[in-house]
Amino acid sequence: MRELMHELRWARPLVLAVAGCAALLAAGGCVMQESKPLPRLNPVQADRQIPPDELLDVAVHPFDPGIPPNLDAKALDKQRINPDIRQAESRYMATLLRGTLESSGQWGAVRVAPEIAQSIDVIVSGRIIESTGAKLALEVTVRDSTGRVWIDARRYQSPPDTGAYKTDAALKARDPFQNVYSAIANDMVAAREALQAGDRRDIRRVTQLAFAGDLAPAAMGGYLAKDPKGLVKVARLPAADDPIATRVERIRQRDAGVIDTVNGYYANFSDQMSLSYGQWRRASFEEIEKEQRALNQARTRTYLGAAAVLASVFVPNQCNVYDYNCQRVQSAARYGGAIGGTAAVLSGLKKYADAKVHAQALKEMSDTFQSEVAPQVIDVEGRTLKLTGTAEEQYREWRRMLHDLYLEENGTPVRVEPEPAPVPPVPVAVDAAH
Amino acid sequence: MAAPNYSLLVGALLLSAGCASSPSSPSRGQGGAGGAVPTAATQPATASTGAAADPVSGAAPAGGGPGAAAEAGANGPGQTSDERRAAIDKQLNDSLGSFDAELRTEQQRVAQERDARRATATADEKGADKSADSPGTASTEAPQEDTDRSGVPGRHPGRAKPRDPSGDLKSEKAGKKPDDNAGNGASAREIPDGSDDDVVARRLRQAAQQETDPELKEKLWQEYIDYKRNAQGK
Repeated sequence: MRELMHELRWARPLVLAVAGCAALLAAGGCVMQESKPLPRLNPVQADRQIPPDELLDVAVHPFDPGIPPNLDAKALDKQRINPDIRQAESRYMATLLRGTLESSGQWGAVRVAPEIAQSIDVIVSGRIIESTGAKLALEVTVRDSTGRVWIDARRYQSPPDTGAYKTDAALKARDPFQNVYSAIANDMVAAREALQAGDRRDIRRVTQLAFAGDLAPAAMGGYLAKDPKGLVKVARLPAADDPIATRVERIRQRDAGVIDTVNGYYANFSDQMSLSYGQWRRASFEEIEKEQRALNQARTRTYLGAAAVLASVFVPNQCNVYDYNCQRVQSAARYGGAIGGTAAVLSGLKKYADAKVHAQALKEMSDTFQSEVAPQVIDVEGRTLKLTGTAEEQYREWRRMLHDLYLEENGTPVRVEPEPAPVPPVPVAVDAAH
Repeated sequence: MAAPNYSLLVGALLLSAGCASSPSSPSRGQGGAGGAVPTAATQPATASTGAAADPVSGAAPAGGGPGAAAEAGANGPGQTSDERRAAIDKQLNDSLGSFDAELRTEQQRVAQERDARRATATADEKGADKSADSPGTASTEAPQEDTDRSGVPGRHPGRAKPRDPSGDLKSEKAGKKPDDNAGNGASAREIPDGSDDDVVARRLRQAAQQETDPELKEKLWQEYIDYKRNAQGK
């Protein structure tokens, strides 16, 4: 026995190489990435009553869907970008961020508003960099009405909180990527806290005067100026009983009403897609995980299998020519290594096929969800465009009236036109959302 | 002694004729554009068209009042600055009013859609709850009534007045307090208007509104509806 062991000593490198490959192969096949539940990040709650003149309103614009313009469908598939889903997500995520900001109690009115809504204290815009069930990455910019940038294209990303994928109720209770929205909300609060109380009051005044200046440039245009840094500041204030300012304020209330209504569209839209989107994300997460696991296994098996085959072929002969026992063991190890390696490579190839199946399953699910959500996007965008279009038309009319009133009040009589017939709303193109 | 003072009468007629004939141009704005017409001279003209004789002080007739002065200003021959301003103000008020109406309609539609969706979702959840074998942790993770999607209870200490997170929009049904049944298990049925409730009905309604247990709430609403039906049948 000792003799045999002595003889096998010469074949040890080959045996070790083959055994090592086999062990790695086995390990590679079994290793699974266990996703641990993420620690939950919640938005910082307001712990004091914020004075009304410092309570800033926030508009969250629908995010840029982040669809690269020059990619064909195949390339988009490869990057897991589904244009219609991204379009829906751009509105859905803005609504989730709005909800997070709202829930913190740190802000005034928080609304999802179209990009034309610019006269608001704080404006949040963002871009979707990556969005699957397994990862969310956003790039967010926040600025206020004076032009001060609070957050400059900062990237926020997170894996999902897998606990949220467990049941539909869990999905409904908390978004898997809530941490991303909470982080944005907390950074916004930090940026606001860095401002002086006077700065916050100025933001509100500038918003008000910017709206007034836009609506009645002749009467209200000279109240704002730019400082050397390029920030808008209040140059002077209108009289407390300025009749034009009073009228503008009444119109501003209507503007807030329009934004509220549009926000309602987006809220309903998000409500509508919420459950099926959550389910799609959960399925996406599972398929991506399976695909990733299959790819990892395929890669490991292929590489190690190939290594085992190569080792069994190319490791030089370690046995004495007359040492038949050693040669038998070596030969067996070579055969074993070659057969095991080949089997591993074949198994790896099968895993590649499995990964493709998962990718295909994900694509089919995405296609189904896309076809469900696309009409909803068109609907919400159509309604938004219709309402904002009507409002714009109305603002034009109000601008004219305010201008006439201004002229009248300054001793320049104007001709009073009879009221025009109401303009029917312009029909919205069905592909407006695209 | 009672002889009419003809000279005074003739003078008055001449004066009124002179005033009435001066701004006869059909182009409405030109009277004003030609210069500031003395208010005293134009007031009789305004009065003669039946408009309110009170001078309109530039303040808008709130809510689009009768606005006869404004109409006269827009179409009538003589216009003071105040009248023109009143006319424009009236146009602005009317325009704001009609825009408000449009907006209200749209907001109601949005709120109704939301209420309908929530009612459906509540009904679905109830169905799911009944058919579920074991709710497990799901029931503990289910959102509470005033917990929004972020999973954070709706405390708003920083805000003077709490706002409705869904956009401050209330459907007509939701806006009326007694009919505010959306999402409370009673929206699938026709809840009678509570305006003619007697004491018993009022107490039943109040109990149904305040009950937090959905099943019990459902039963209380049913009780209320049945009671109202019986009471009306008498």
